[in-house]
Amino acid sequence: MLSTMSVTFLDRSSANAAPAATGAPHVPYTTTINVNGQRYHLALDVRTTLLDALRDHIGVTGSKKGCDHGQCGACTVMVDDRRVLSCLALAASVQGRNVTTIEGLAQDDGTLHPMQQAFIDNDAFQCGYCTPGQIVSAVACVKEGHAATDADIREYMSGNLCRCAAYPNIVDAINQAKTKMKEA
Amino acid sequence: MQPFEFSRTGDLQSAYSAYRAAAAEETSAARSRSEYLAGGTTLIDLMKLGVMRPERVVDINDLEAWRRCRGEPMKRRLR
Repeated sequence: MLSTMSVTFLDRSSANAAPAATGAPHVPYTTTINVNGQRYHLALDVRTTLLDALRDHIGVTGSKKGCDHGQCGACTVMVDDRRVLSCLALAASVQGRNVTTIEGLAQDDGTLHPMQQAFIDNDAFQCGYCTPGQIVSAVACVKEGHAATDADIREYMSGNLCRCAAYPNIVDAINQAKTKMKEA
Repeated sequence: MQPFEFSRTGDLQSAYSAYRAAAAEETSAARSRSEYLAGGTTLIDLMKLGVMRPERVVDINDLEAWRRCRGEPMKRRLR
């Protein structure tokens, strides 16, 4: 990625939205993104992807860069409750939207999201690199109502690859979590 | 990725104006240097690979028209 040449300033308190500048090349593009309930004002190279903004500029490194081409799903985040591949979304495109990453799933007191707990209970990972994307995707999969059967789960989780092939346990984890998520 | 001008609008007319940004260059060549950005899964990927090199990217995710876009089996309806 060539998008690292940029200025970043973080302002977690100010409610003043940065002006939506029309980005000319080489001029930092000012944008405001809500990440896990926190608002960030950023001045970025207009080419910066949401994934690079999260990891390199905001410092939220849970979302992983696997292929950087939208094939592996390791970078999956939710934008306004929809699954988005953050490596193929420009940070400038999600201005004013609510982004949820793996860091935003647990409760403030540290209680894990049912899906996170289910992944632990079912041993649904080995190396763990794809896991943040898998879990965010799994939460959205259940919320979308696409977790009715094992076949549905496999189909609607097919955008998230796991080189360790923990797939059977991931399906088990989602089956466990979907019941708990309904109760909540 | 090549640098580009970026604009984002929720209005159909201004999206089209931005797409044809340079008024003097109202030719097919000028238009081909602009791209609309909707989902981005193809455009951004191809821009990373240097296959697509637009000078202007017009983000149309805010277009009001999307909200009136309905999907049916084998059909997409834009009202």
